[in-house]
Amino acid sequence: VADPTQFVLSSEAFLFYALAAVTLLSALVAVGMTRNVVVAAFSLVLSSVGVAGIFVLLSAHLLGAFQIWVYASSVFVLLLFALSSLAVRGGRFGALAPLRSVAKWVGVVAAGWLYAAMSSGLTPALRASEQSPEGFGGVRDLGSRLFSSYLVPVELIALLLLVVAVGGVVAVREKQS
Amino acid sequence: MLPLDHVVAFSALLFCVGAVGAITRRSLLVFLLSVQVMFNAVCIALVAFNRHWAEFAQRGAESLAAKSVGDASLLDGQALALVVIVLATLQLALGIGLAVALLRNRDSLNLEDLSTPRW
Repeated sequence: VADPTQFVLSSEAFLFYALAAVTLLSALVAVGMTRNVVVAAFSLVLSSVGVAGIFVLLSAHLLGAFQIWVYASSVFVLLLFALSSLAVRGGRFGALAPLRSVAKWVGVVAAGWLYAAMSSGLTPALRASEQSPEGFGGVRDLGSRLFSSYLVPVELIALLLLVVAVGGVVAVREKQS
Repeated sequence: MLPLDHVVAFSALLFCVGAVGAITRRSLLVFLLSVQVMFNAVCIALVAFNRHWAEFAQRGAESLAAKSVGDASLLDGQALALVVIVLATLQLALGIGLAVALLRNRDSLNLEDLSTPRW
């Protein structure tokens, strides 16, 4: 007799291996397989999206959302800003023409991913990942944990954010002559 | 159910990829990317062990009546992973600032040009 939960669990495992393959391959491309820094940055973003999916599979939903926010938006914007400023200054990165073809493929992959998610292919696996206690890894639980017993590290990180913001400005500033 | 050892093995593999990149590549930007990959691997290991621990505590909850599983008492690993994510972002922000300064002063992004403490 086929156990329906067995299929659900194995689809979760299948999703993990697929995400792990995407993450590992794009990390390899980002780290060693290309000379183009823009391609490497895009690969890092793809790898980070895979890591976010693995977080969700491991019932860390809030961390998955944070991963996407942090890497796929702010880090990426930061990186592109730095690259454009470098390219404008030295011109050593040449035209950003490779950006176009890479962006096309990233868009194709993202659209396919979104379609797969919305056509409820992911729903059984996501349901399976909610075997942990109700609300585990959600906003309420992690937030109350962070702002009670982890209050000191949170405040220290806030201080560190301020220091890094000032330090970044100082490091980039032109020398006054 | 995801086997814990597979997740941890994947995390170790990802960490090794980042470490090899950080050691072998000479461009400062690629070095920063490699360190980000290493941070990601660490976060995956933290979250995986946290879930394993939570499931373990859930199974033992019948005998350990004091253990309250539904609340936020089992999220230490995820909280630590969140701290690691923030630290990785801070490191990248500062590293890119340093890269811009290095390019401005040395006209190069090669890490081997960073041999003097001052410029």
